[in-house]
Amino acid sequence: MALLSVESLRKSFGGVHATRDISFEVQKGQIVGVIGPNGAGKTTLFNLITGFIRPDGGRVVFGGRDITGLRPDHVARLGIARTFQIAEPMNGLTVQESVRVNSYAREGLARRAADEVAREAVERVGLTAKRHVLSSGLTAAERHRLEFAKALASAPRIILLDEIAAGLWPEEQNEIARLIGECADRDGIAFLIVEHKLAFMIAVAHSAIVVNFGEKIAEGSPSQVLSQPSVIQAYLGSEVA
Amino acid sequence: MELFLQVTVDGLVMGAVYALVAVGMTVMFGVMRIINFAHGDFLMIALYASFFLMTSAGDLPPVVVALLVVLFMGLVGLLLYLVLSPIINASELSHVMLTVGLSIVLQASAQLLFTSSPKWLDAANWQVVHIGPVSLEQRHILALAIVAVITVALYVLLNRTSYGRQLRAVSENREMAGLVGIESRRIIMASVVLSTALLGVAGFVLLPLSNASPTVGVPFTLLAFVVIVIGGLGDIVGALVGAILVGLTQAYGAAYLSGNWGGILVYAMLFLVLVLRPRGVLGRGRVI
Amino acid sequence: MRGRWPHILFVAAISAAVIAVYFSGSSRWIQLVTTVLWFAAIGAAWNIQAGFAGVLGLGNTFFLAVGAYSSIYLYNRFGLSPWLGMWVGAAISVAIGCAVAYVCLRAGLRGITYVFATFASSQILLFWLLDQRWLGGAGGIRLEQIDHDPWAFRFGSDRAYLVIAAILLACTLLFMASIRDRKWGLFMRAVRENEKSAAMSGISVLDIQVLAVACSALFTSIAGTFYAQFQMSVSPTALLSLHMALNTMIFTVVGGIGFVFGPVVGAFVLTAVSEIALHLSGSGTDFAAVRLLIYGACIIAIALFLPSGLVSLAGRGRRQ
Repeated sequence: MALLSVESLRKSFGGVHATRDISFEVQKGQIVGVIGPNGAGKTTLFNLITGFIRPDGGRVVFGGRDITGLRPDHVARLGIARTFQIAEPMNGLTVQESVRVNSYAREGLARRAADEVAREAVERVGLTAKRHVLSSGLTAAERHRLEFAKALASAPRIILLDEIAAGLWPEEQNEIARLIGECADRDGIAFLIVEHKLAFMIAVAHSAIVVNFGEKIAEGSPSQVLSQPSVIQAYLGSEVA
Repeated sequence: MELFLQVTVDGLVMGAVYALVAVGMTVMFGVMRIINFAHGDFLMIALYASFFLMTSAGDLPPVVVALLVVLFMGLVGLLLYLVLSPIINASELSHVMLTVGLSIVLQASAQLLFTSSPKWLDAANWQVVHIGPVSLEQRHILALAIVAVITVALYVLLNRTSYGRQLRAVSENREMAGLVGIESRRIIMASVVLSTALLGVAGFVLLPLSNASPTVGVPFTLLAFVVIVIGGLGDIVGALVGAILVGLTQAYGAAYLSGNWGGILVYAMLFLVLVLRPRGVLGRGRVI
Repeated sequence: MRGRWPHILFVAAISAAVIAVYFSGSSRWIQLVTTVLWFAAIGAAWNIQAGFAGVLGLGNTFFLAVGAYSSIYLYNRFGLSPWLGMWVGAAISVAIGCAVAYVCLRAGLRGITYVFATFASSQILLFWLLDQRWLGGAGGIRLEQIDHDPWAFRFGSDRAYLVIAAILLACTLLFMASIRDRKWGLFMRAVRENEKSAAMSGISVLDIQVLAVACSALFTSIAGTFYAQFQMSVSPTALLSLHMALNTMIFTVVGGIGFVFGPVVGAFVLTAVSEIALHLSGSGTDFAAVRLLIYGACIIAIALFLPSGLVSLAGRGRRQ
């Protein structure tokens, strides 16, 4: 049984089809990339899966359970974590406080244990030295790592990464790629990654789906889909990192 | 029955005033996502301006007074725009702080300049007109007539002019509007000026029905907010509809229950709309 | 305990000032500082919902009125000690506060729209009270002059009220300091920072916001009871006016919203500034108007130049 199963998901905004009949699966420990030009509906897809938007049709099934239309915090507690693209998510909190928010929100975890989970997550992403720094005082790469640490602290079964490599130097990208691989192999965490940097995608993802105008137009291994004529055409005129 | 008709007319007259006040508030919300907590205090400025112009030496004809008040309030609008522009893109907290502070400063200044005793227009000259069982004074007719004219003018402004189109675009999506070349700063400035100009008309119309005093604007700020929520945030037609509903509710409540119940019913309507129809009775309001 | 020295020094300084006033024997100073402490207390209560959870309400006067009226009415009618009546008021405040907050927040009201809606709810109470003759209508309710009856929350000397106000403020601040770095405080602060992100972290955002309002209502209501006993009377227009509503927020906003000591700094500074200004302006001026003008100018200045408040000047970029 697939860990996450998106079935015929549909969403329109005032006549614009943001998402058109998209279906795909993510298995446990699998890293799936979502690529497509700007405005193709990738963030909408994330919003639909995580409950920020209700779909007009279709289902989202997670761990055998229909989670379509559940509230985001409910979805999170069921084991789906997600990072956001926004520049400065939680300015007034320190790194440690930020990550603790996620571990404290887990059900049935005592305070000491939650502190420990948070500490470990911060260490895993290499931010221990900056644990008392406010989020606003971090570099872009560090902020991405913080988002990652928060996701880890929730002990998720799948993490949705929204452009985690944006604005990062190659060394920093490699670091994140390594983290992702490690989490998938060691902890069996699945990943659904939206990413514009295609090189990063090829390096990290096991498989990929291509979305354009809200529709899935290709599926397969990253190098496979990127050599398909329909995909190349979709990207013509858009920037390819 | 006669009471009912009379009360209805009174309600419509007040509704007309609320409409003038509320349209400005909803337009400003539409383009800036700011609700001016000091909105009613600008009405207070218009009332004082109307009072001093009407009672000054020179016996100016009312039409001239009206135009002068509107011009003056237009200038005031420019000043307001200057004060607001640094924080247009700032946090909601900044909006609250600035407009609340403005409200306090305006009221305190009025108190220091004019003292808290209300200034009334001499009511002796107002003639009464009887239409069937209903008696209307000139000032009521004036209010209704002016609002009717303004409504038509607004319709033309919004639907037939380029400003109107651009206003609607900026309201819809400021970023997109910028991408297609609309200078939202100028639209916002024009909208603020339009708001205060409408308040100028409202002040002129309201003065004979009320008075000028430092705190006279406070209930209007709140009522205008209720009107625009009921009508749908950002929607001008909604503001007109909401204003009539609020004016009538207040009038019926005050007449058939007690003065205080007029107020209670209006605020109760606010909460009903929030619970049942957050986008306003016409369903065209902005989702907040 | 990292960097706690500024906090300890601050508490020591304020305590020293209060103690000095206590022993000064000057009735004017005692009453003035009591008022400042009370303003700080209601500001701190507002800070729980606004500074921690980001819920900007302007309806806390509702809780003040409920707290004030409950204790006075229950005492006059049933002889119930205000020390107990205070909890009745608090229960009503929390219940209604949660209901109103839930409705408004669920409808998506935030920022200025939420400000208006909550202010409107306080005006509903105002109009209702004006209409209720059994609660004194517009005139309100008065307490009979008694000399000294601690059980009835009445004290012969002003100093006792000073002490109680200090204790009220201290309790509110201690509560805030204690939840700030623990689960509920962290959740509230996360919600304030970013609702979407907080939801994705697993926080039930609406529940947390309502919880913050409940805490705010509790402390504000108790402060309302204090007010009734201190003033020995309550009236709708005094308690539910726009002016009083502004009092609930302005000291916190100027002092530093989100900082535990913000309201204290704001209350002391603003009061000091206005007292000095009034002293300089001499007799014959409209004191109330001058004070309001100063408050208004300060809050505009803060909005334009220092939105995080005065306390943020002291922090090295680190919020307390």
